[in-house]
Amino acid sequence: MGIKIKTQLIVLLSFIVVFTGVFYVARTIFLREYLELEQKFFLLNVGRLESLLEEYAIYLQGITVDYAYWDDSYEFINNPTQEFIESSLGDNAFVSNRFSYLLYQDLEGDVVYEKYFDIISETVQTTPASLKNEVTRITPEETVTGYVVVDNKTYLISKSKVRDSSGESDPNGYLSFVQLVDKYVIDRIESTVKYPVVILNEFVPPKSFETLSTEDSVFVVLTDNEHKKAVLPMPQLLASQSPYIVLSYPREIYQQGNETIQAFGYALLAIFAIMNLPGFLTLEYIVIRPITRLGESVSKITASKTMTIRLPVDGPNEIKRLAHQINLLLDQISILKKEDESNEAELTYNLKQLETKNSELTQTKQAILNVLDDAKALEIDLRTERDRAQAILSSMGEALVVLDRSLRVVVINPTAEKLLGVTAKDILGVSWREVVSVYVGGEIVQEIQGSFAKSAKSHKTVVTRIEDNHYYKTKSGKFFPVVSVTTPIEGLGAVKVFKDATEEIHKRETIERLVKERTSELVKAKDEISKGWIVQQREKAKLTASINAMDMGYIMTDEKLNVTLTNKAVSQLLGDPTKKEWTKEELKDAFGDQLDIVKLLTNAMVNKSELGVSEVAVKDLFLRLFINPISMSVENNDTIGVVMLMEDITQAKQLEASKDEFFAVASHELRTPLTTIRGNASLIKDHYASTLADPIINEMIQDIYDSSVRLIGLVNEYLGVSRLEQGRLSFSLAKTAVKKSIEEAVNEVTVQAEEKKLTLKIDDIENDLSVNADQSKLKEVLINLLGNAIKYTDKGTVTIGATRINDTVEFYVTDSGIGISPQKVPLLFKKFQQAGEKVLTRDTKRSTGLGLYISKKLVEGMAGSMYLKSTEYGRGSTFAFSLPIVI
Amino acid sequence: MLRSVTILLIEDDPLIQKMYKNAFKFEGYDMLTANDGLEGIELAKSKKPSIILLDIMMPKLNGLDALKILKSDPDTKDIPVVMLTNLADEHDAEGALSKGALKYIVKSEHDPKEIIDVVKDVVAKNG
Repeated sequence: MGIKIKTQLIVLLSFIVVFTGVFYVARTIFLREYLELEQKFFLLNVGRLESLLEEYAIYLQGITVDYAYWDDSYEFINNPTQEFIESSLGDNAFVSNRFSYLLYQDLEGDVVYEKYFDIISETVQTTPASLKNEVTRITPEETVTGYVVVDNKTYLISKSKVRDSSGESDPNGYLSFVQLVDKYVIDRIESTVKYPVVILNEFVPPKSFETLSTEDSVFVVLTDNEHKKAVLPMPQLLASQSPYIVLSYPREIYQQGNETIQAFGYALLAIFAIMNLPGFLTLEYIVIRPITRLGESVSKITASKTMTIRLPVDGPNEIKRLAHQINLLLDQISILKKEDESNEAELTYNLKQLETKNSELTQTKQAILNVLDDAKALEIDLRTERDRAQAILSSMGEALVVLDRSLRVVVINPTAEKLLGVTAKDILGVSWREVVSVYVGGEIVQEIQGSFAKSAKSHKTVVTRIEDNHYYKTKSGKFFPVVSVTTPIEGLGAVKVFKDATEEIHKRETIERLVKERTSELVKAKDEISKGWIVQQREKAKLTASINAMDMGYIMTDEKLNVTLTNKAVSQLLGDPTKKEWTKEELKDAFGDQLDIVKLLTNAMVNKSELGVSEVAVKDLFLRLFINPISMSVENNDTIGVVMLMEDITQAKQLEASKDEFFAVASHELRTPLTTIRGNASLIKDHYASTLADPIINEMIQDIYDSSVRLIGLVNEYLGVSRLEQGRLSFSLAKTAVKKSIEEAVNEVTVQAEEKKLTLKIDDIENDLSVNADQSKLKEVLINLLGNAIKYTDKGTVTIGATRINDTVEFYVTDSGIGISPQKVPLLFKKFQQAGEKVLTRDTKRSTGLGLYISKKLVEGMAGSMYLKSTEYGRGSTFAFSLPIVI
Repeated sequence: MLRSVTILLIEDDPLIQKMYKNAFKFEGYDMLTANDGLEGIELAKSKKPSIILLDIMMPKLNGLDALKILKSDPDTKDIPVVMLTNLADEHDAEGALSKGALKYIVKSEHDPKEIIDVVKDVVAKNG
């Protein structure tokens, strides 16, 4: 935003603020005056209306009293005659006084005479019943007058007791005159008060309204922009419903005030504008314009980048000086710039020269490097080839020598060096015959007859075998049999691969001896088999008898799983008692889909291992299976078949189930009376403790309560153990958050810890650590460990935490309690053991000792393990358990 | 405000019945009692209690079967049922909760006032 706009905005803003302030203050003061004036005139008019209504009423009351205290009226009630009416109250009297109704009554209120007159049509008509009722009903003390609504019409009624003119006689009746408040009357009111009026039969004030009061009445004021309305009750007649009259007073004074204020506002606006204009113009021409011009010139110089343009030096002193200073600065910059330009041209030329030379040099260097790289690559290839050949030679298990055409050693590998007891360095270039002497069948062989010579001569590979009886004798005197392969290398010599044949000769001799021995054994065995067969038959009969006598089913198969032997029990157990023999397929069918028995037997065969199936249902029975592979003998464990035993465990299972049910029922029956003891003790504690005078009774009841709770705990633990041992507990394993489980368990034991004034501490645990566990059982284990720690600790801290160790999470609970003596440690996780004390001196507050046992079993049920991590007798212990982690 | 609540206890043991009746009386509640499942269902249908406390091991009709009948009868299916028993077997508890019981409470593990709190809580939530 430019300085010009900013200045204009500031001027405008301050103008608006000042104008608004002045205008509103003035308006408030002026308008208050006008409003007061308006209120004064409004009240004046309301007062005028009130007195007018009063006046009408007083006028009618005057006429009524005149007639009522007239002897003729008095006479008329005693003796009503038509002449009196015609002479004194004829139609003319009704018209001139605008009477609508006349009523004479005796003291009992019975009608003596009535006349209803319609002033519009000037005829006598029947009295409307409701008007008659209303007028008849009124019983004045002396005289009453007021406005009344009857049948939605407004009437002014005046009623008086009738007396004789002396005024001292007793009254003998009542006289009433009634005027209808019609349009004629309203016009008269309007012409008197000069403002419109309306009569309302009833009026409900709006939710918010203003009231005002004059000397005579309280009335409601309704104000809008156009009118101020006064709603006043008309003078009332006894307790009758009175109508309301509404005066609409136009707000001319208020509007006039508003207009004046508006005119004042415009005037003020004009004055402010005129006052501000010169200041604004001065600012514009003397300050803003020159500055703007200066700014534009400087931008022009910057944009053109030539230093030739100069600023115009005009405007007020300060700006003139500024422009002059900038021009001086520009002059200096121009001079400096020219110097720079000439230097730069020279530098650019030199630089180009350098660049050309540099690129030439770079190319030359690259060419040299390429040649070097090629040479290096070639060298590496060669070296690799050589190393590979060397490696093959060195790693060879066989000895190798290469001889040249003069039969001198050219190459020898480490195996050959070792075998011949020489080093390469000593024999390279030496004649082969000086290294070894060759013997065939005990006679030395001349060089010309050796393998090298033969091979070189024949250009063929020469092989010497064990049978050829070749021996080498080294310089050190070592003598050994040799097998070798000699191959000619055209134009170079020959290569010979050879080996010490001592071991092979020995092996061959051993085999020959064994074959001889076995042959003689076989001859002997053949004789004995014919004798042994009879013995074997007898043994087999015995075995079959005992197998048949067994309760267990017995099945034997050969290595192809064909059934070779079964006993009677097999047919019994598989539900077909008359069947004598079983085939593999029939067995498979008998077990059905429950268990693939052939697959199981095959497994036992192949893996050569024992297998067991703890429980399988076949027909109505539960069977337990034991499968054993049959081996030839201890030394030779080739499997030649499988034996399977089948045990009927139906009864044992039934027994187990009934034991389980027994436990459930027994614990239920034990709990029921205990619930009553606990519950009633608790009710006495809660509701009668204060009424029992003797504190000992309260204590006894507390003891009953504590004991029953403890006994319930015992029952629960026994049931828990029985379930665990029957394997009846089912675990629903799922991903379980470690931190949450620990926090929940700690919550459960907080009260216990507080009672003993122990600090419970949770170590930092990773937020997203989870284990595969049964959530409720994990909590039970944690509560148990925490409970134990609290029980065995008298002061200090119990700490719980969990850390990740490889694929498991280790939970630990550390206490600062009594610790566990070394001789008690092995008993810790056993049933009914408490490491803390001897059985007979058990602290009765402590538990059954089943807790750790149960906890360990629960952890094991969740594929974990529990252990005592550390303990120091007298200083405290750490119990821990681990569970598989879930990521 | 809660005093107009009707509680039905279905329980065969007279001593337990008496105890809970007393306990609820201290708090100003009236308690209907039934001695077995059949009687309980009749009372539930005729008196429309605000809550039913239901035992499991009972003569004539056990609690789990009674629960099944209560939850299938349109007259009684909306009445909250809390199992109040001494059978602590997880299978029983899971069975009862899956048949529509709101809670499963083992009597021996709680003082009567805790049962009252549970009833207040359930009635307030269903009220």
